[in-house]
Amino acid sequence: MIRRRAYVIAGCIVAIMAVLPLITGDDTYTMRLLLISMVWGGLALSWDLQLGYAGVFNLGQVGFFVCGAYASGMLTIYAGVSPWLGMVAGAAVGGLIAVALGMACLRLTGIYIALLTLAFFEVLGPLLTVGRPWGTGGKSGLLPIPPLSWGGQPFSVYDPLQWYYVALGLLIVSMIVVVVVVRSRIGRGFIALRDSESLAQALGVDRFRSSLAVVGISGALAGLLGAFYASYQGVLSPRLLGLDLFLFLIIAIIAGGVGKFPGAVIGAIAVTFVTDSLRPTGTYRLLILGVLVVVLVMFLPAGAMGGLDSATARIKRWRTRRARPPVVDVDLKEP
Amino acid sequence: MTMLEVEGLNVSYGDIQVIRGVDLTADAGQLTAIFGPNGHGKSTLLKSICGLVPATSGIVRVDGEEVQGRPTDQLVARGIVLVAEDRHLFPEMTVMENLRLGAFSRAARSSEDANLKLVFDMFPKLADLRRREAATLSGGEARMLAIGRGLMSSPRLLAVDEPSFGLVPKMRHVVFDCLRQLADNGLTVLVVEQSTGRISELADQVYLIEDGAVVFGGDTAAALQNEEFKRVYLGQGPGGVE
Amino acid sequence: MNWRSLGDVLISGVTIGSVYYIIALGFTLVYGVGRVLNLAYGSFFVWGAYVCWALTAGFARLPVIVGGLIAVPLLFMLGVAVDRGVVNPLRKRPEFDFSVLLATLGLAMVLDNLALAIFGPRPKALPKFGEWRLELGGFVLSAQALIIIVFAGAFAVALALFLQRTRTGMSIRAVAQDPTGARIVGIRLNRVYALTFGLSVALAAAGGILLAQRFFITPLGGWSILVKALIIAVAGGMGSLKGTLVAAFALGMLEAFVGWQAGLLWVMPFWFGVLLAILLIRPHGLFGAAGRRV
Repeated sequence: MIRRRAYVIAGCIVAIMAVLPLITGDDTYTMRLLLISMVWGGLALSWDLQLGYAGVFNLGQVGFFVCGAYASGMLTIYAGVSPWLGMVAGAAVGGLIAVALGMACLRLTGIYIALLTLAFFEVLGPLLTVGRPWGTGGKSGLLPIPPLSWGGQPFSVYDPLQWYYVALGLLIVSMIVVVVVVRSRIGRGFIALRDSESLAQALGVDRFRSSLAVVGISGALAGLLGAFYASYQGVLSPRLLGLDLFLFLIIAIIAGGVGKFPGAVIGAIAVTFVTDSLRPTGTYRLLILGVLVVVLVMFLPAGAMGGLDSATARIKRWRTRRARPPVVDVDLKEP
Repeated sequence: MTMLEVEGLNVSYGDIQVIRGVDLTADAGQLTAIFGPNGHGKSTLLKSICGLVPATSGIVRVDGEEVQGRPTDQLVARGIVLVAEDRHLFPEMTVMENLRLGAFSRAARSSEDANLKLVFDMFPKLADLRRREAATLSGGEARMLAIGRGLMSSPRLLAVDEPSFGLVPKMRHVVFDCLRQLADNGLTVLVVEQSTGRISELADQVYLIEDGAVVFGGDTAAALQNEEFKRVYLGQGPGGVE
Repeated sequence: MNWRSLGDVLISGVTIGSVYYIIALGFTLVYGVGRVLNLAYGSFFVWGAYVCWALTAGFARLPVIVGGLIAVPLLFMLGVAVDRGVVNPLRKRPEFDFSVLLATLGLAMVLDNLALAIFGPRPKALPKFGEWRLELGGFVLSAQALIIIVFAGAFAVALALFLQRTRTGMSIRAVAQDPTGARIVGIRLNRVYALTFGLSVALAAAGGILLAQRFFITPLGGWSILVKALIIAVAGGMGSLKGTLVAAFALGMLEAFVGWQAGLLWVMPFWFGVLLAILLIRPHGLFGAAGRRV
């Protein structure tokens, strides 16, 4: 369920991001940070859709991102496919693998889902490394991946402006997809399941089918973003499957508010800048992030959007208390 | 001094209030029967007295000591024991293991062997079944085990929720007679039952709970004279008379 | 077929299998009793090895056995502290399952990077227990392998006896089978949760120390262990002691075989394939039932 103000916030984010390049001007570093934060925002959103709304313990979302990235990368390098088509391919691959994984485990309880997706996440790295003879580039990485182009001209390596607006477009797409799913019958089905599993099932809500749909769509979204990422970075390596990105996204989701659109995007932007500012701490960065996760889960589980919810609820209570008319004491038990 | 004193007990599950301002007393040596329609809070009342479900407000006093809000293990240590309607036996443990776990609390440990003998005397069938896994027991056997396990905790106050449910009439008599005997031995026994009949004969006092509140509370003779009581119970269909 | 090597591989498989057994046990225990999916399990595994290393080769010079005997109880206490401080407070929340997943993930990050910061990224080795070997008809059994098998076996037997015979052990099984029933007989749930968590961490640490007899210790080495422990637990049937035993040895040997024939890089894909097969064919595992059995 998405409250109206969530749409307003989402709209503001898009509007602000659209306008920011005018302010940052020549500061390509900040622009790149904003750019990548939008990619992570979309990815975090797609993950939050599963974790927060559908309650699916999918730990392999980054894997779908990487699969889409590699699929697109390999197609554009070896088959000369246009990177735009590569993005479509990335979405398809991400979605298909997600569905395949989902079919194997979504009928079972949470721990099995977590296990299979975690195992998938763990095995993807080694698979890409041994896949060197098949063109994955192995440990040293897949490169050079052709950049997107427009009107015959490839996007500039130095000026991120064109990339920026494509990323913004992808973020908008992600938001739209998530909103559509949450408001659809599938989304409402999950709310029903949360309130009363047996009643919902009696009414025809099929948890397996709905979860599969959500996982597939989220996987496709991740693959799409991955393909863009591949083209933007120009190079891919299995190190993407390290715990950095994984943890980063988790923090973004928690910080923004699990299952509270568009918290994940806010979280992603915030965490991008926070981790960037933590760069000087070097190896301690992950340590600090880990502590942050624990602290957030224990003390601020509702994240930023949740904080907003409780703040407005408190204001509302304060308002009604002041406005209440005097109560007339009526004794209903008068004989 | 009264063994059990409940004053103004209120219990809510979330927003739904289940127990409203219940007052109840019971004494050592007394068998107290608690009746009432299903879903009106009888089980919750017992669970709340025995510390399994927290009360929103009110006082529960056992032997003069206030125990509401205390964690279950402290209540068990003081001899306040519940035999729940759902039994909650340990399915993959044997009858013997279940019984031994009944004597888990430190207070009950010293009397473990004596209690075991008592339980087997009362329910000889359990002795035969001692090596069987609890999950394989029939309904009646499981209920015996649940009561037996409760007895292993050396209770001073034993609260039994629907002891006769699912039992054949002969077993019901056995169980009720056992509860009467326990009361005669000095225990404070609370029994929640759906149907009246035999148990109301054996009980010293009776409470009627409707909608989470006490509608009637007094000794059995008075109950059988009371119009309300007779209306609710003796006017009832199949479940009313044994 | 090189029979000599096959023999070595088999011994290797049995050795590793025995360690996998106690590691899988620890995981099953904490899940079956406390319903906790402890993503930091691998990190505790590594920390067990690191603490032992610190006591034997790093900062002090104690003999390996003493180091191990000190490290395991230390990690047990750490486990109890983590349960009391992080996991148990989350229990009252309706979204406990998910929260504990995230919290232990954060914890894993903290532990891994703390290890990295303190001990550095270079792999460490525990001093060898002994240099002697046993020759059996052409096969060589190193002291390491023997020690691992013996200790793992001892831990497993001790745990089984503890759970079956002692009052505390029975209380743990009780909580796993029916938490409300446990409360009714006066068992303190929080105490059991903390104890079980500590026990599982101790098992992970013991596994880490034993495995460090053969492999190097690295800060991130725990993740593959976590996944393997999970897979073995699932393969054996969540909570079945017998199933976990069979699964641990079977998969340990298969892993050794795969590593020998196809190369080490194929080991993780092998595990993944096993998991996929299990989930598709028989998710309840070898001996699993619908209920839990500890």
